Amino acid sequence: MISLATDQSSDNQLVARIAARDAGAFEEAVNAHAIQLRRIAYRMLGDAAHAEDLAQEALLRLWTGASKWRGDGPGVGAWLRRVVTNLCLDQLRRRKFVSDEDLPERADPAPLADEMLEADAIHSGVSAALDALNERQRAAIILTYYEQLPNAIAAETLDMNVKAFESLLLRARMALKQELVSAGVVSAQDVREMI
Amino acid sequence: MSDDFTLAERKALDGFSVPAPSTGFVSGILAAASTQTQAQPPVQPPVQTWPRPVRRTPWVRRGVFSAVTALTLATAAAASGWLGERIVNLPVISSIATIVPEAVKAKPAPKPKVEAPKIVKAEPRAPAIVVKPAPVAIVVPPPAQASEATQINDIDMAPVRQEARAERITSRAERRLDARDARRVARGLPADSDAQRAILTRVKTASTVEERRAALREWGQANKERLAAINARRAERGLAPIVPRQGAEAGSVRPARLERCKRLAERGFIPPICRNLDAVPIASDPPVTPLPER
Repeated sequence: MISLATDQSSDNQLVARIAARDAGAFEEAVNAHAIQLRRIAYRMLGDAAHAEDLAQEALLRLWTGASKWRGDGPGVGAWLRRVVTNLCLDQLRRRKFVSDEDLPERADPAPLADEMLEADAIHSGVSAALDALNERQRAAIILTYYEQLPNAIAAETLDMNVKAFESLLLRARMALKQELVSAGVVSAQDVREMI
Repeated sequence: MSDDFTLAERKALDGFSVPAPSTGFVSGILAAASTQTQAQPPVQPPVQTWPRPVRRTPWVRRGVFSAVTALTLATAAAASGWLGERIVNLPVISSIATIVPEAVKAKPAPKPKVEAPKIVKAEPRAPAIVVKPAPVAIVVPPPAQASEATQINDIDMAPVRQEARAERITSRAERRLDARDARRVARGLPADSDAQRAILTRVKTASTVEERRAALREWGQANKERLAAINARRAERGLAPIVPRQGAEAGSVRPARLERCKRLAERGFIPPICRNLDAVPIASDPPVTPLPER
């Protein structure tokens, strides 16, 4: 996990260097944020190829728009997360994210066959459950659960106030629980035990 | 944050792993950035302004809508007198409403009373002089004011508006023809002659479809004659005649349009003119007349 703590002054210096067309500074930003952006985009879209495209698009917007950087913002990471989330929301609204490409091979060593089957079932079940949520609910879950962002930062990413975001997150969690049961990933008994 | 999820749910959610990035993911981004750098001019020094978009939240929108609605209703109610009659007695409106009738009644009443005694006293000296001013001064003004108001209301504005509209259309046509001349001159072509300009003015200022069609027919005929003259000069110089460009046959589509539609479709945009082109026959491109050598 990349450290999410942002130092505003160092961010401003980094962006100033990027605006001056310093390739080293841009590479630094890419190395720091590209993987996280791709991760968010993948979980939003469920498509690895599109996720990489959108992560690249977000970073290129930083490259081209660095001269317009406003120094008092929440930082480069938050700005990039907002851009990639908005790009994903646009994609989801257009429903044009279907890709025929195969996912890249995993770097981890392959587990045993039955474990792999179970993992695939869970993976596809959770993916389907997230897919059943609306776009903003999905984004709320991904930012807070998977990316472990505080509510305030996640709300900023989605351009919402915190109260509205908390309400959205509550509805998202309830909907996701139901979808996980519907997809057969979690049994209804687990849910009842929790209640 | 994730405390609301059960252990089983968290385990399942954690199973939604992200595959490793493709090889060359990071280097691809850097390469794309360097490509953009070569294509674009160097960026100006950083400006510390990034204007946030002005957003109107639903509450702001509702507030504005409510204020506008309330203002409209209040204005309508005040104008119709509903507020003064039923709910609120507005002092300004009521005072204005009471002053007007009193003033009207007060004027005619005192004048006869004042004049009457003068008539009586003057009778022995000169009765003809004293009697005349009293009735004339009091009776004449009210009907004169009423007739002026009636005359103002009776003025027919239709011809005035019609004249203004015609002037507007004519000046607009003149502007467009001036622009056309400027475009032609910029392309190295001669400006329209007076005769051509007159026909085009008729086309642009026609008030009915029939007038416009007649003017267009005239324009087509003039063009044919001009083309015949040009081709005669070209024939004298041994050049091939210019063939006027014909439109595609009815129900067919030109290859150029197909290409444009294909490019738009690649960008995810299919305008109505590009729909259902699969079953439409493709028209042949018109012959291209070679330009004369200079």
